[in-house]
Amino acid sequence: MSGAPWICRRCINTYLRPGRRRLIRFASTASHESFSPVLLARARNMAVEHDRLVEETAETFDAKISKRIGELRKVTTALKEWEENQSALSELQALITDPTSDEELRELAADDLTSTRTQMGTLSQNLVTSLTPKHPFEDMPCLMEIRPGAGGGEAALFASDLLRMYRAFCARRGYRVSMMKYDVADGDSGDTGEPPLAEAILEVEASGAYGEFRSEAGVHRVQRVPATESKGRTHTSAVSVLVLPSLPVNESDGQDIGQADLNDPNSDYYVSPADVRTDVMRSRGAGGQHVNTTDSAIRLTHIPTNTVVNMQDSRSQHQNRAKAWQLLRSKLAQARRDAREEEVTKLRRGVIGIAKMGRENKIRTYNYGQQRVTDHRSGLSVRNLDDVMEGGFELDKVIDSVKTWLGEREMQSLLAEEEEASHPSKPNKSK
Amino acid sequence: MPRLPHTLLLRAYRISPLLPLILQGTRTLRSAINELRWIREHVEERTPAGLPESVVRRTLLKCCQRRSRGEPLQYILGTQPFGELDILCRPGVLIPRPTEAYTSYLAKILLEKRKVRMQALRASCSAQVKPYPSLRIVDLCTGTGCILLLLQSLLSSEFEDLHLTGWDVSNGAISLARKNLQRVETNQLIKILSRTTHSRISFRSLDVFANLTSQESEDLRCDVLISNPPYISEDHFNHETARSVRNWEPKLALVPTVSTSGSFAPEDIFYHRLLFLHFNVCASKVLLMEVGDEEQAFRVTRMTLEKIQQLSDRSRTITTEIWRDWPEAEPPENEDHEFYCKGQAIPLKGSGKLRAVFVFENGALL
Ligand SMILES: C[S@@+](CC[C@H](N)C(=O)[O-])C[C@H]1O[C@@H](n2cnc3c(N)ncnc32)[C@H](O)[C@@H]1O
Repeated sequence: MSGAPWICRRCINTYLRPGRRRLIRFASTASHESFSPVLLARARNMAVEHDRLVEETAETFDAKISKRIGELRKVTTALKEWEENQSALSELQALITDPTSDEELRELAADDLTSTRTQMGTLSQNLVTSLTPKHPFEDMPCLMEIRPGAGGGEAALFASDLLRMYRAFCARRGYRVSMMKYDVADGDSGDTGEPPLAEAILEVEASGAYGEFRSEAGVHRVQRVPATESKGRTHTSAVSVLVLPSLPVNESDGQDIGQADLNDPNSDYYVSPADVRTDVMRSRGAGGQHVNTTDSAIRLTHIPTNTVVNMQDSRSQHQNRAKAWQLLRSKLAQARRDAREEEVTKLRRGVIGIAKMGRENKIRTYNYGQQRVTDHRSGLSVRNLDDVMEGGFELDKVIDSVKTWLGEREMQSLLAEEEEASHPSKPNKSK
Repeated sequence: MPRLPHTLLLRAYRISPLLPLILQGTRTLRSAINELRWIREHVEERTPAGLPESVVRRTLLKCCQRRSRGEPLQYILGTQPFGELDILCRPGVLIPRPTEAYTSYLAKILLEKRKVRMQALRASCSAQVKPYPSLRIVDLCTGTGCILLLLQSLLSSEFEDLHLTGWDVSNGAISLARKNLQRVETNQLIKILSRTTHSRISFRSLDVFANLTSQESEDLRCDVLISNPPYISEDHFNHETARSVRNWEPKLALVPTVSTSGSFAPEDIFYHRLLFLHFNVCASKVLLMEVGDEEQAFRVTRMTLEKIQQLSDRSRTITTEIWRDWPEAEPPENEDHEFYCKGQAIPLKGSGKLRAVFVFENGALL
């Protein structure tokens, strides 16, 4: 597939959900009256490719090609249904406007027209959905890294509140989680009894967790009066959340990406051991029989990118090393993905990269005084802060609103790209 | 020992009231926090569900109090990870140190040799090469048995016929090593069942300095001899070991008590004996001995080279190396790469402190 932006399918569906007035400006994309011609052209090209490949491989089998056919099948099917419905629509319209049609037939046609029109909406949605490429990490489990930012002890306390929020959310959804890393900071526990956090990495083992949580990445801001504040002043602090794909540790875990990908130097998931420096805690003095420390900390440094990961949670250095490698792989895979996305957006002037958007920016504010949570991307505010912090349904609302927002942006990107491609006169730096 | 600064204790207390206790044992906050978490996990795992919260709290407090008196965490929790294994620990038997790197490296070398041999075998189809080479490994001063058990775990998938024996003078060590064997086998049951190979592993009691019976001499014959013997001098024991080592671990495992008449330091006596056993009894081709520090590494190397010079068979080519803590790691530029001894350049492999002396007969195992 070309350098299309990666779109979360669920986002598109949310975005296309009927009755959302603020989305009207994009209605041309999906409206049954005028489906975006660029997208339609794209779909037709893909369908042609599909049919050609099917014909070519009628007698042979090629894993790569059949994978491609699989990718194209959805678009092809959606397009066929859309086109059939479209021609039915024109026929009905012709029938109605034709003065020679008999009255009874015309009435029947009018009835049909309504249902065919309604159906057109659904089919258009399906077509758009099938056209938007999936994010390569969409179906993977994920790692959520939570770290306090500006704001000292307050930030550390809020970091532990956020961790609690995501754990509760996962528990409600029935996602299995485990703490990959849990590092407490100095200081008194907060209202919830949880100690302040220096850093935590929550592994959400459910497949698809990456797609579910990726829009949570960014800076979360809290405004509240800290317990230690004697004058009752509101403080503002920040916590950053990072969402990474969790890659399979061994073959049997991997569904989409197998061991082959981890060992293939051209894959995004490959990390060359030669590029990684391992440091362990060295005891002072002679070491050996002289000491019996329990230090098992491991630090890995990916030299080309200066990416550093530390792991010390397990008593077993062996396990810390394995986990550190898992984390390093995830970080590098995400970084490579981001870089690629950045590259694509650079070619597509004017549209802000999805990856970049939010990563360093404040994405959400939790205002305790007003019991309000506002997401700065979707613009949604909810009033039930407590329910959000308990990982309740209010949090679903917020997360869904961001997905809608993300879907819009990604749709814009897709359109921009297609439009660019359909105007070859413009200079194109790519390839 | 200097008292812990008040501010540090206060900081610890603010995180958890139990931390100052553990801090007495660990001396650093970072490890105290980790240890508290491990103790908590251990206690929670072991407390049967349904018991009141106060039981957990009391057990937790008891563990922390033990730790505050310097008792090693490994005795409190009863285990210590060693490589991929989890080894049982009991007072009276030395706790495995994080020195698994030389054991894994030895395993790697043996596996590579084995691969070369199998390739040669396939190429030549010669009847002279035994199709299923057995490998005999002897571990002297085996303690918990950790080294031997890790070797088994790393080698048994490739070597069809492994024969491993661990020896120790302490009955407590032998019975613990046997418990460890059972435990590893239970934990790795699936792995063991799916194996087509079989390995025999046993732990037996022996004073390495005693006169050997002919049966013992026979049973000590092997391809690979490995040992982490007691190597600390009385003086180092009193001044350079950690308090928790000195007060809680068996001195028998750390300081050689055999009186020496030779020209070597008392703490080196086990190496003298190991070299004798290697060349004169075991007929082994590979010898790996842990050492305590740089001076000892150099002394043991010199001892080894002298022993080789005395061999009657001059055609044997025997290589000696010194391994650092992480023999496989990239050596840092600021560390020496060689040590000159008796006109020979002895390579210092890997990074970290000098940790083991490796003696290898060329062509061995091929
Ligand atoms: C430093 S510990 C090594 C334990 C184990 N190999 C390890 O690496 O953790 C030394 C062991 O040597 C044993 N030992 C001491 N004197 C011995 C002797 N004369 N003969 C055999 N074993 C002896 C001690 O009981 C102790 O278990």
